[in-house]
Amino acid sequence: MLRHNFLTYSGKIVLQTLGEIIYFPLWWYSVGFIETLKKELNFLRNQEQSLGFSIWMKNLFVPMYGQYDIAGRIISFIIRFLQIIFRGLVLLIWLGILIIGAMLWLALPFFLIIALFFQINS
Amino acid sequence: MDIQQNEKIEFVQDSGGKGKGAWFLGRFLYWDKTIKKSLIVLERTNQQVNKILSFFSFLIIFAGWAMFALWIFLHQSELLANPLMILFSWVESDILISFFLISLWFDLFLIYKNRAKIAAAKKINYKLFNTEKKFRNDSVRRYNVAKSFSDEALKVLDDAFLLAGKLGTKQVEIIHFFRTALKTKEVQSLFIRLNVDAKRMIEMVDRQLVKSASTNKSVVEEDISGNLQEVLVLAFTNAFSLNQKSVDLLNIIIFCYSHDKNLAEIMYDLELDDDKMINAVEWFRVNKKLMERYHEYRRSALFKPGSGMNRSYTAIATPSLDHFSRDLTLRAKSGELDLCVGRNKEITAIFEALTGGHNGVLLVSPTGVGKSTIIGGLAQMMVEENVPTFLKDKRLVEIEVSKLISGADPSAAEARLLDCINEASRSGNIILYIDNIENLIGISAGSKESLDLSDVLAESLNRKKILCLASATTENYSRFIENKSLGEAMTTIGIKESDVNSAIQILESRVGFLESKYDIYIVYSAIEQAVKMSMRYLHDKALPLKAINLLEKAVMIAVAASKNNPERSFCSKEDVSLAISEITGIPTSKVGVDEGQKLLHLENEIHERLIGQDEAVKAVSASLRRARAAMKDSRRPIASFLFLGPTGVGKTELAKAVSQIYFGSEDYLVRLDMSEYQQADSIRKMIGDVDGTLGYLTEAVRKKPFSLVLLDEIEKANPDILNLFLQLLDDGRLTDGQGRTISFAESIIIATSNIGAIFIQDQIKAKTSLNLIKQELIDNQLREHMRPELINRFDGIIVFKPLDEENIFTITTLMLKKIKKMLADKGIGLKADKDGVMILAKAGYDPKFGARPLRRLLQERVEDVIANKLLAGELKRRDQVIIDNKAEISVEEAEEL
Repeated sequence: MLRHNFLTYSGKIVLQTLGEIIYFPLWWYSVGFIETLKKELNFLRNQEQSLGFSIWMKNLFVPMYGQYDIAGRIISFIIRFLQIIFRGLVLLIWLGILIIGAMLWLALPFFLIIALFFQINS
Repeated sequence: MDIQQNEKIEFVQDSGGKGKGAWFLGRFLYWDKTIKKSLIVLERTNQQVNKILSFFSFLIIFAGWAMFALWIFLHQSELLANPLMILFSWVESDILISFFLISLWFDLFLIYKNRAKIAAAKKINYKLFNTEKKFRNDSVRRYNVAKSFSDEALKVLDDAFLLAGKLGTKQVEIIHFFRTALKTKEVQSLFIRLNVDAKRMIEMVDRQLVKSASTNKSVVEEDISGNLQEVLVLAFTNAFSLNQKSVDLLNIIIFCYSHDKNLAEIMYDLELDDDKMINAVEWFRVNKKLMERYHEYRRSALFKPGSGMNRSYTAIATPSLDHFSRDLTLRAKSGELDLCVGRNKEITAIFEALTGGHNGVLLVSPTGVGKSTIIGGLAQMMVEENVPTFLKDKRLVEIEVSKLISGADPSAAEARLLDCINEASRSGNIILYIDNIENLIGISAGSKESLDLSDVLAESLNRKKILCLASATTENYSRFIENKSLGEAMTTIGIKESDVNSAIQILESRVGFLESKYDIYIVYSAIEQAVKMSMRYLHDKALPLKAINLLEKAVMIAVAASKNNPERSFCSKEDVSLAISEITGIPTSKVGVDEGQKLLHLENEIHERLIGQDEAVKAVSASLRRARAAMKDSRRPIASFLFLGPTGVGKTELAKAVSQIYFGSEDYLVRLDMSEYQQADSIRKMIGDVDGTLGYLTEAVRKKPFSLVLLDEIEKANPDILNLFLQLLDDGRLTDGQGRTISFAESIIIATSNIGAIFIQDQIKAKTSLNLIKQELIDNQLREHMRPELINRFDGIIVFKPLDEENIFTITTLMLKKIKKMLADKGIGLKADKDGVMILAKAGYDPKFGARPLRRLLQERVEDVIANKLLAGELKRRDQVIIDNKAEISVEEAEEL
């Protein structure tokens, strides 16, 4: 009884380890990739928040510093417009970097296989 | 965090398994995990192997990167010429690069393992518990709680199994688990906080273990006893209600002792109970949560602007407002405000009032309940932008009324306030807060009819120009605000005083701060004591503030003590008692628990200063002991007596003695001569009136809740005033003229009366027993002066006998002793002959007035003579005053030196 249990349990452990290794590539392209995307999105959201991009967009036609006269409105609009372009650019750069990051995630295992192949063959 | 909910869980025999289980939120919880020695060994070997493998993986990863660096080093000249070469390094075969590429696989695998580990730590599957869902059959509804336990908890369980095996019991009992858990750091620090003598506890548990091992040898085919299974299931429900990732040791520990009789006994012996354990465990959780919250808070605070400008740049400069105010959101951003714990309900109420269209919200509560903390909590939520939309990207600004009105006449103050309001209104991103808003009331410009400051504010609120929060104490609210325009313009939110357990938890959240500030360790009992003592003795403020102040004071006392004694670096219950006695002046011995000893020897102590009256002394002592031991109704006075007897027999002296012994000093005696309260309107003198006159009795007891109230010659008071004492004796409280409730729960009430004095003298002469005399007094003589319900409310009616000659002799000796002591201060001795003392005693005794004439006699015949001799220079240091056998006074000169 005891021996039997011992054997099944050791078998279980070996299987578990094997399963982990087999699950690794699956995880990389499913759960792992989604998690990574979520992390990137979160990062992007934080960047947006710290730049206040949406707040500037929302207030494009609202005069700055409570200057409700015509001149104030016009100057405010111009400044806000420039701010939005500048802040939008920063966000775009971040977006690009994150997209490259996600692509790297997908490509890395393939790259490693190909590279090792070259190493062996050449 | 409702831990009590577990009481509802009922255990039944598991039909599908072998142990016990319980229904919980639509699922059947049960414990199923095979525990075998061989399996434990295997599991641990596996863990060891895993550890070794990860160590080698790390080595490989490290080596891989090292190889890569080496490759760069070897090819540096080529790389300098063509940096892009690094990207194509993999094309050509190179042993270094090959190794590096292989090691990169280990990198990826490590990322995978780590992320999986984080996911695996979330062991409780909350999605499965949904009462709405319908289930097809019973088997799906089963939930094995064993899957949800943390690795550490499972490891302790394994160890407990091994321990049980060693002791020869096949089954793991709760006590095995408990003993094993005591070895873990987490549980150890819990008991350190609880100030439990760990060594003693372990000894007791070990003894129980040995005992249970000898009685419990019968073979049972289960790994884990039914009791322990119940505890584990309960622990699961506890972790579930706390929204934890997995069930940890603390979840299990709090249920252990209630399911094991022996452990319960041990806990009882160590003075631990449910509340203590749960509050202490809560302490750990609160601290952990606070840390998490703090990190989250610091992160989100980064986004809040660090100036008065809002994020959309629509705000305007507000110079006047800035001058008369301070920005609470800015202070919150820089972390200057206290963390606000457990006040979500009140803050939600503020949000609801503001969304409900009210522009002004007034927080009303007694001092110390935490209005400022709630406002601080709101400021913090605004920093996190964790608020309804209309509060997002706004500032919370506190107007400082003192600044507003200082150095300005009322009309200038009004102009300032209007400026501030206008600026806030135009800027549009400002919520105002005014602490103690009653300060605005009554400051008006010009004649009586003109607007005052509060009206200016009320008008702006009515015109919906601004959003304004304010606070006031309950007392000031009803006195100054309720019926004014300001009271109508604002909606009120009453804030309740916290109860004992939440006050304890609020204190626990502050302990970390106090500990780091004063570099001292605070044990749980000190916190509990601070809450309980402040509730009992400090009546001018509310919880939790009074408990926080008390604890801080205690900490400072402990710090001072630890400087003298470096080994003692913690703040205990005793320090809190010391702090209380420093604040209130109540002697420490009284605050502590050792009054039992004092009460046991009360008679002896009283007799040191009161002669005779054995029956009275015995009755008072017995009554005081009874009152204490019987855990008296905590609202009623400690004891109340009516002393009857002729004048000069020691009634007042006994009252003084009780005050001296029980409270530590005669200063705790509040004496009222009831002959001064003969008119019905003299009630004002006693309890004060609405106009602000303070009552003599109520003020005295309010300031010193610990006091002996002596009502001299009670029969002379007006009957209306006597009615007051009906309530006082029964409920232990009086309401004074200002509407405050004064508690007499910590005082002793003694009334004296001369009613029936002559009757007592006659009956004593006729040798009637004291009991009969007392009965006659109560039945007939007293009734003529006092209502029977008042007489009945005294805990004891005590009859004082007239003094006999022997008593008088002893009293004379006692008084002479006092004179001797006074002379000793001047370096002069006193010797008295027994016969001389007897002559004095006889001369001073008057059956009508008791021992009272004796004092006058001693003054005339002894003190006056000595005084004359002193002034005449006939008495010098080292001389002796002699009272001879004829009671004449002479001087025995000392030898020349």
